[in-house]
Amino acid sequence: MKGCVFDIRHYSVHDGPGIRTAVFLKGCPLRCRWCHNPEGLEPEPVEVCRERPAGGKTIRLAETIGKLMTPAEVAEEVMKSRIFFEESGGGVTFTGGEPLMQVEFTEACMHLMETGNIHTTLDTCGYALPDVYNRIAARANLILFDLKHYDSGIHQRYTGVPSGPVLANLRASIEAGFPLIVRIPLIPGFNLSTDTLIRMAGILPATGWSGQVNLLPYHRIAMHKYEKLGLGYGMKDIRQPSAAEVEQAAEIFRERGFVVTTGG
Amino acid sequence: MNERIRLLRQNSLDAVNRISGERAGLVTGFYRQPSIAALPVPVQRGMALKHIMQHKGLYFGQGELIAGERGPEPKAVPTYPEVCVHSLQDLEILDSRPKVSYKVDEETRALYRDEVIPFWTGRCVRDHMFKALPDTWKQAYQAGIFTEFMEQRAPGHTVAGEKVFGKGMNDLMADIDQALDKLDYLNDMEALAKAEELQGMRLACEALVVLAGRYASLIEARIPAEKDPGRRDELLEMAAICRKVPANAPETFHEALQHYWFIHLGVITELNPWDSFNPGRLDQHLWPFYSRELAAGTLTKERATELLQAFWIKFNNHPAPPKVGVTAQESNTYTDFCLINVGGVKADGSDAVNELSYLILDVIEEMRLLQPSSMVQLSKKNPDALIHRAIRIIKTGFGQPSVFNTDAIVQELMRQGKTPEDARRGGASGCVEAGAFGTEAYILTGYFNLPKILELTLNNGRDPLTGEQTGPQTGDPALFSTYDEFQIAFRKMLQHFVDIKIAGSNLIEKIWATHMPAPFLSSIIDDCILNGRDYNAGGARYNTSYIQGVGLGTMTDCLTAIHEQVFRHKRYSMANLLKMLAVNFEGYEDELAVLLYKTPKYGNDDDLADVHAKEVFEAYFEAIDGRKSPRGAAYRIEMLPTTCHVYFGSKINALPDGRLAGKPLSEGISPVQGADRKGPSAVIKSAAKFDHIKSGGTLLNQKFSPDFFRDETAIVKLGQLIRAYFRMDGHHIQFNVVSADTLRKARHHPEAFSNLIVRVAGYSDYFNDLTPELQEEIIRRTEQEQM
Repeated sequence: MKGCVFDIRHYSVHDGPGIRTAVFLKGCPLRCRWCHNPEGLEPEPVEVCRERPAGGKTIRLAETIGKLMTPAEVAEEVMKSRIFFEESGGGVTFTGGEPLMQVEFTEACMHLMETGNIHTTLDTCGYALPDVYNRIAARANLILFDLKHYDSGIHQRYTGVPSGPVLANLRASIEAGFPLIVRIPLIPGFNLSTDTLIRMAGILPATGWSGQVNLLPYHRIAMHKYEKLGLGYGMKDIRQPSAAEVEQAAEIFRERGFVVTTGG
Repeated sequence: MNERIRLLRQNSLDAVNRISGERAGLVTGFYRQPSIAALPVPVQRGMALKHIMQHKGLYFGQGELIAGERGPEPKAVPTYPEVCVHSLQDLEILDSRPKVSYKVDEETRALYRDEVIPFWTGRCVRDHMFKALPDTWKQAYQAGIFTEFMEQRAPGHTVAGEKVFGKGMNDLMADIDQALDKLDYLNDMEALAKAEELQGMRLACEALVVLAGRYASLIEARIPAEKDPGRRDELLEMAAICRKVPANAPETFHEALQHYWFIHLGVITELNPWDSFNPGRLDQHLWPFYSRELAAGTLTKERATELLQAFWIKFNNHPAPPKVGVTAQESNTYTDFCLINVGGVKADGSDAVNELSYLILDVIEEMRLLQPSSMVQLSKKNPDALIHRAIRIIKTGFGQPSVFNTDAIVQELMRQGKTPEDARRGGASGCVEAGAFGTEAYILTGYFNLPKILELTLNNGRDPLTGEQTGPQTGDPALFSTYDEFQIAFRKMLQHFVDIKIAGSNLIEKIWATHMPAPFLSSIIDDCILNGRDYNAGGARYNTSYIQGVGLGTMTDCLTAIHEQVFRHKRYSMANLLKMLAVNFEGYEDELAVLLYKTPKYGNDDDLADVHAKEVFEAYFEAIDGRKSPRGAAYRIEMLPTTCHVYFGSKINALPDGRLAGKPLSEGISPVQGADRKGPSAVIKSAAKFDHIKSGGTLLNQKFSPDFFRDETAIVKLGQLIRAYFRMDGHHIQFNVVSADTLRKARHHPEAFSNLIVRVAGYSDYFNDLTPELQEEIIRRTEQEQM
């Protein structure tokens, strides 16, 4: 069995506890306008040309984004960071793209990680059939669950899919007591309003829940990627939230009893 | 910092680096006396130091708490014509060069023209050396295969041990007298030489008492005119301190600092030893004074801080003695490499961190001075609080403190034969050099250009820069059919030049031992008194000579390129590769791009490349480790460059890793600038694949963007990264926390960035004081790979 992996990044410090290795799986069912990893959207490897300086000239080098790997190859690469996991209580984070798009491959990788006693984190958009979602979510040591908007219409407009399946998986995860960090991107013009955030907080249980909320202020950092991939960037007019806005958003969740972190 | 410290610090920052002819004049006047030549050399040296201390100009600044300057005022730097006499042209270069200049006035030039140059030409150590060294050595030196540390500066590189804080000059003189009494002229054939050496030491100790007494008188003379009653009391106290130390052992915190400072001045006035001198484990040495006084109520934390700050400023007042020629290129900085150690373990192996460790870190952060350099020793036994505190300073972006692995250092020193206790009393000095503090003479003999050896191997011993047959014919690489054949040829070439370097060092060592002993330094380093032998002649308990390898990253990538692209995948023939190198890849840009971007590189935790790092390290180790020197030292290896990777790079044409002609080599054990594309943990994994314990120090530079530290967890996670590196026996790591963008701006608008400090290699420096090549090199290594 082979999966399509577009990056394995070591010393990832913002995707779960400790020092982590992030495995980026290619292919995503969503098309969020603000996506930070547009190179991971399509499920197949992509050939791109990259310009590189060499001796005063610029040379075009063919490069493939996405590599077909076996779970054992993934595990071998991840395990290079074992000493950092041990030192920090870190582990592996499956992200993407969307890991659930390659559910069998992710499951096989996950199994190898569990055999090696490595802490596993699933970073997911939550848009999957419940049984697909559960195959991975039920065994992950932590789930980073992206919650973008409660309103299905707006969700559809900005991400290409309705919010229903996402909310269903989220509610089921809460009910099942899965260890969760709900990650909410703060995007002006999309969900960064008091009203919207209050409604989103309402989805989460106010009491008796061990999960946390992680607010991710929108950042234009990925803009250059779109240029390199020759893709249009639909977010050119969107500004980055101010520190005060982020703090205000955090307060909405905090005053409802949630543990909140910002940035990531 | 309070107003007094702010002013003292500002004065130090504002003072202009200049050459003072005072010492050169005094030492020349002393040696011109007809009676001197007949005296034993160590006695001459002891008397010369006493002569200088008796006659040098004194400086005692407004508000100072620690008295004493090496020159007539802050940043007035003396010269050492008995070591290396500067020509008038040298003085002109020092005065006018764009970077690391020292102003030279007309009076000094006249003194040099009329007295210093005529007297010392042909007499100084450097002239002795170059007269004695064989042509093979000179040819290799000129080709940039190695440098020589002892051509312009004295052996040193050493650090104070506990004895320095526990004994006064009177105690040392009693020890010396006892050693003199015990000399056995019947059975010991060296007894006379020992007596002469011990007499020299005694004179040198007397010199220090003379200097302190003169300072006491100077301060006493200031008292009547002092109107501020608070300052008056201070002056009374300081005068009393100067009457007491360094003649007697210190008893208070203030006395301990002043005591050390006089000794520091003694070492750097006697000669111009590399890395100046160094109080070493300052939090350990000062702890008894601090804790005792704090308990007794005679010292407050605030006063201790103020005294430490005043102490810090004294170091910053003392730039490195002037360096010219190759020495300037290999160590192009005002920094004089006094590296304060904080943390680590006690002699019994237990956690040594105390309240003073943190207080000293506070001082480092607040003073934000280039000198002294500072480092944290981190043992597995030390609390995380220590490394977290250090990282909070590191993230402010001035390159200090660097972080060292105590447990690795102890293992390194024990492998070399030190007792566990002596090893644990040690640490690192200079850039990254492991040493047993107070008991070891560990002398760096020069840098060794590993990629130049590769270039000579590729050209069958012919230097493509000069066309000369500089090395032996190790075979035409185009005829090699396996990588092993190439490797054997490289090892032959390496051994040839290591042998030339060692033969030269042996000869130079003997010249120093004979012509230029250091009796004062000897009196404070054990067991020179007991052995009746000079520091420069093997008198210390432990003796080590280092040859510092440069360009490990470049070497690794070159060997990987040859192995992978020539022998394994046969993408290019050796003949073709040599053709590309000969034309500096012009017209071969596609091939260059493959070598740069499609070939495994060291620093990415990729065994295809890293296996060659191990290969280079082992080859270098085997060529050098354990060879003996005349003073009884063993040669060992280190991997550090100061600024020599820039000079060495200028002596090499294009290389198989895609590095173009004349460009800097990689520094320390860091990857080639920009070649590490998988983040810091991959760099650390690569760097830990060879055995640091077999070295006496390795230097790893890491870059972090200031953005990395935007949240608190970054501090913890960087601490864990360091801990993981140290678990793998990594020796040292240091950080530049500045964006490439900031550096680029600073290059174009130097006036707006006059305070910007960056980490170079084993030390920090003002960005504006770096040569353009070094500025560019640091920008390249700071650049973050984007997608």
